[in-house]
Amino acid sequence: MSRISLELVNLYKYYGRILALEDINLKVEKGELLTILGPSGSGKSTLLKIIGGFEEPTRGEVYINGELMNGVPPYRRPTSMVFQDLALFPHLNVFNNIAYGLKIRKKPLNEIRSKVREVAELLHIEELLDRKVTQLSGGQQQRVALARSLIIEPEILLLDEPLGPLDVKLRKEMQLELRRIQRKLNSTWVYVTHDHEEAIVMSDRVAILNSGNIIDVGTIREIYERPKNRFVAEFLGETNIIECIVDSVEDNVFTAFCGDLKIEGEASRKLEKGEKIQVMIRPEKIKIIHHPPPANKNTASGKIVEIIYKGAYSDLKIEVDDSKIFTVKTFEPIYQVGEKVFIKWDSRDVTVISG
Amino acid sequence: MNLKKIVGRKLSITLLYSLPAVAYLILFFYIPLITIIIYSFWHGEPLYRITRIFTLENYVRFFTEKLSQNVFILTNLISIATFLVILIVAYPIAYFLARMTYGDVGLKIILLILIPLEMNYLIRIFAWRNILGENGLLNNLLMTFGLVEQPITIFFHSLYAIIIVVLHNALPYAIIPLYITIRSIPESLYQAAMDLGSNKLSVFFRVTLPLSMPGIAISFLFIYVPMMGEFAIPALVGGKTYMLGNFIVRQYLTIGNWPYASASTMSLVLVTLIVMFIVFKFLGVRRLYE
Repeated sequence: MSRISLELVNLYKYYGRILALEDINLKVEKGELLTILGPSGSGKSTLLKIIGGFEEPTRGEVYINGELMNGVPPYRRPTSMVFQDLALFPHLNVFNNIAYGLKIRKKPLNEIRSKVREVAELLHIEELLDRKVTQLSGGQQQRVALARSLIIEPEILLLDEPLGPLDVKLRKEMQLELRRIQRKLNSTWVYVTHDHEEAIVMSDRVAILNSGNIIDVGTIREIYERPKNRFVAEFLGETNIIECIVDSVEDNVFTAFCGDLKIEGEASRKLEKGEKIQVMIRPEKIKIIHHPPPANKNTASGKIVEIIYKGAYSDLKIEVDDSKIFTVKTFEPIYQVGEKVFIKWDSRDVTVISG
Repeated sequence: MNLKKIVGRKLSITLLYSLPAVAYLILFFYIPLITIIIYSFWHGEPLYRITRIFTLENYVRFFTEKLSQNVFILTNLISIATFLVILIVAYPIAYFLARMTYGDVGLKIILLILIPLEMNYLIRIFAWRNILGENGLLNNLLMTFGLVEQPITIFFHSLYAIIIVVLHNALPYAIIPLYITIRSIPESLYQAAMDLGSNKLSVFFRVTLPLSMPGIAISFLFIYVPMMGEFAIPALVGGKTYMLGNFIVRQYLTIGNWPYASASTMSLVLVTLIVMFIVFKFLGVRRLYE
């Protein structure tokens, strides 16, 4: 049994005549962490501001726990936001920043004290309560901002690229920690980011936003492996997209000619013979072999034209017979530019992304 | 060796550049100030009779005599009251300009507010005499419309007249620092406060007002300090109101007790410095530098 925490229905937002959000429909279940992933300018922050009540939608409805929230000011909504610039109060120390929401709610002082302590312990900042917020490091400020929002126990926590200013190492730590806290509290979080790796690590489900439209919603795995279109496929990391013409379809398995290549895969939808399609194969699904493969489908031969060293692995750019460039991920740093190799992949890993 | 030479030359050039300013300050500020300090420790009597012996009697007299005590307290009260009146008028204007206008519209409006200050100080005071006076614009209007029978005197030659004139003179000095501090509060802080449950009133008292304290402190200094030494405005529109500035002028020019006048001046400087120190220390002006 799951309950819907947040529901957006036919949401539109115009700034003057500029369309910022178009026909957004979204449901978030209680206890779920939904990431809104999109490039900058895609409308993710606007969407978050509408949920938080800082902006009113031009059309459409926002429901939180089934209650219509249109026209309800931020201070009467059961949401709380962790701002992109954190927006800690510079005139208050850490304790008072965290206690702000409870003080507004006129809670007794000893209750405030014990709750602040509780939240501070959850976030490992109990040592910092007397400090000024200006004396904290970026990561510590992050935690204070989170504590300040969590203490009022919002129905939905909104996070607007909160890890943006942190360095990579700290980011990765915080991502895991945020995830841990979210699971522990079992609360609903809507997390906005433009970083697909962050989305992959953090989310239960992802909504991909581009120029004001939700293009795809689903678990990160569904979207990564079966993206709806080329934009989504490319946004979630490097990939190989090949133009093909369907040759035959049989029992859900199709064969297609892509230049000199013959690709076989599962047809995720109905395909016609002669139809032009794009298929996607992720770089890590392609294997390099040194001997010519027995079959003539889902394989190619080519020459390594570039090696991009990435530490734990390398990306190889392999030019196959008819000048197509494949990106292949390998963990074995034994290849050299100019080397001739064969590649193959499994028909399970071939995804049709558009017709 | 070489470095020393370069540093030495740099230093001497810097000194050369600062020479005019230093000379000016020494000649027209420090020498007079030191003269006043020296005078304040001599024995003096009316009509410029001065005995050059060291004494603290002038200071003791200033802080113990009923007349000077009263003038001192009254001057402080007027200065603080004026500041409060100006703050009440200036804050909403600054708040509006900082939060409701886009781009540099607010600054342009502030420039408009500044234009009257281009006019000479004394001329402005005399202009106010013509507006507030017994046969002035205000009373003429009130009588023409039959609102009063007799000219009202409350705004003429009174404490209120002082406050009105200073309000007009000093308003921009309050609006500008307030505008700048309110403007510098990030929008997201208001949003965060609302997000955490503050309604508009609570946002104002818990976020806007505390964060504009530096601006309030600076406008206090801009208004309080000159007001403590003001003598032209009380003399011209203040009627019987007698402020510390007038007291000192009278001691110097009419009574002619220079040592006592000097001690009063130094006491004024000292008190002002202490107040400035307290304001800087406790009203968060330092936060401006952090």
